[in-house]
Amino acid sequence: MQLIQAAKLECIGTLAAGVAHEVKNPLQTMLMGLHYLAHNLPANNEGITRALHDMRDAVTRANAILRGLLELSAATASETKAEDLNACIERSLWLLHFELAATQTTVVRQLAVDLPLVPMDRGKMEQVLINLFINALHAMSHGGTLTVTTQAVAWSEDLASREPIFRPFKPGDTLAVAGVQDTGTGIPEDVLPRIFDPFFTTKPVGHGTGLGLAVVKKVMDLHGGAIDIRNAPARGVRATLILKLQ
Amino acid sequence: MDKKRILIVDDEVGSARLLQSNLEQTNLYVVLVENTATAAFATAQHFQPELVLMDVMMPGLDGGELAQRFQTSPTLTSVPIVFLTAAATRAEVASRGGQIGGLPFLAKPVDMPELIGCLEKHLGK
Repeated sequence: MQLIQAAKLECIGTLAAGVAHEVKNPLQTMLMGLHYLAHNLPANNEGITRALHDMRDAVTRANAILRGLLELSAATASETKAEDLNACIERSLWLLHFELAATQTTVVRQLAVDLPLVPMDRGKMEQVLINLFINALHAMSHGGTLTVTTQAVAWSEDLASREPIFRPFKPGDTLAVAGVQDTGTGIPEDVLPRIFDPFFTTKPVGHGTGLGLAVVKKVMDLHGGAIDIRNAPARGVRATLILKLQ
Repeated sequence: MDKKRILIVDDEVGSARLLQSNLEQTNLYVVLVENTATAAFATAQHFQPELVLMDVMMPGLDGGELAQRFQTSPTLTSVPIVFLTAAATRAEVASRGGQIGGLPFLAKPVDMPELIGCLEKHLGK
């Protein structure tokens, strides 16, 4: 199953890189055309205004799908350096500060002050965090609490027996563990096994490309890390990310 | 107020024409369009643009080579160039600080407010 998934992702990536240029140029033409029409058609015609708005939304959506595909295809190689994971989290939150304010989301940080530097590709890890934060915001459209945690843990057999996400690691590994938890509606249990599938989404049409978590999984795999997403005991969803510290 | 002279170089004929219309209806710019790099260089000699907005991937001479010709021309060397390209994502633009080869660039598709903001930023230089 994992091999089929990997082959599917590789195929999507190759196609995406190939068609990106060819698709973005027509999107540019449409965007220019929509701007032209918006300034030259009667502004007081509700039907025209709505049609132009819907067409603009469609262009934005097509571009978002293309961007997701390109991100997926770009997640094939990483330049890892020792980076500050907490700073990476702060920057990702800052990039979303308008969305956080607009949704009246409260951010709770429980970040380990003594967290060692983590070998990672900062740009790609920010992409992972932003995708997880966006999913959390979509799940809490009427506000809620986004809790972000980090800690360093030493691998142990006991830990791995309790938490399957730790099983790929081995004795001697020290790990950076990041958590992203929301207070949203949660994910239906029957849907959880498919959340990393490309193009799988539970969001309404036009609100999700179904590529965000596929990118997240691919980037974590690329780092030799692990990710687990499950419903939190009380409410909402908790995503756990694990990266090796050395 | 004097209108600023903009030269658009893009082999996407429809896109370039619509961009020209959108810029001209602001009454801030006089715009010429060329669809090949070779024609653009000849046009620029007499049009003397105050900014060139050019695609990167074009048949024949590409945007990078055309920019080099501008920069080595005694009469065009100081003309600001902004690349408009479908070959990069907005994330790449941001990660490169909005510059490619030392020149500013925008990722297609880009909407008019962002594009005009970029033009105005570089027209004064």
